[in-house]
Amino acid sequence: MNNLKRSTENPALRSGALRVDQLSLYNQFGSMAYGIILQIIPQEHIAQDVLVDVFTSPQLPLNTTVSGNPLVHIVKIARTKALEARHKIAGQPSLSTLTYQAEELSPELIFNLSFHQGYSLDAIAEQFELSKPDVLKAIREYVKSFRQY
Amino acid sequence: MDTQDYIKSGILEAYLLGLASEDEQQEVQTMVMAYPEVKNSLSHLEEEIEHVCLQYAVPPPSRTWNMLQARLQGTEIKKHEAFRSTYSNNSSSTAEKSDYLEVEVNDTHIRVHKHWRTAFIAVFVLGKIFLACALYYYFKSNSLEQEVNRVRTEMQQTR
Repeated sequence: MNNLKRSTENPALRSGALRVDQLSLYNQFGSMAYGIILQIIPQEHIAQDVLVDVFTSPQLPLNTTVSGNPLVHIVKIARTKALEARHKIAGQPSLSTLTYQAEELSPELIFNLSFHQGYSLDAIAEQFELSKPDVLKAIREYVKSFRQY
Repeated sequence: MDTQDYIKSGILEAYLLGLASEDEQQEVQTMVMAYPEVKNSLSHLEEEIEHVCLQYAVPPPSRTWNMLQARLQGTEIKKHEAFRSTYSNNSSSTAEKSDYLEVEVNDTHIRVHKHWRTAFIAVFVLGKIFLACALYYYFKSNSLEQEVNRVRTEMQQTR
């Protein structure tokens, strides 16, 4: 077994290589991930813990090699981990217990319920008696609204 | 469905934000492989999502950088159990308590830098050399002293 082969099989050396990527990803996307996490968990000390979890996640380096833009993967991991932490802290109330007036139903509210509170698009559609395409269009509308800024 | 209708349906946004179901994710991946315009729209949307995320961006405090480095080096200080329990017990009073506790070490071993091994071997070898020299000069001085005594005795006898 030559040295090169051994070095690629050595987990310590592999983890050293990943660490560089994780720290550089943190430098590049840390503030975006922290912003997303704070939207889901306002408690700063827990949000910071989740942020560290995101950038030490074993999924992170693997995902960044798959696609060209690591931000999308980081957004997904940050949201998933923040929602997990939020559910452990407060649980997730049933969507039917939340009462909203018809005039409150906006793309922003639908985005908030799905992205920040973790309700599935099907559950939102069912609760508000919308079709799934309408819910998807509301998500699109909300993302499009940022083009104006 | 027409590809433009598919692009405008909002499924790509849901896919990128992690809101799509597994079936929908598979569907998007198939569409991306099959239609270049869907792939282009997805790339364009990635930039828009980045723009959305920039609106939310909040610089984390510097201590998270230290926490991250410690975690990656495997030397993270053990968190206070009460702090960890905020994850599970919905406790709000733990922020006032210390985040860390002192870790009591019970074993009899210590960890030292690897260079101490070389230093120890060098000191051991030098010790052996000094011991050999000391014994050599001790016996040599002893024999010389005996020789001096013998010569002194002979001189006294000759007088």
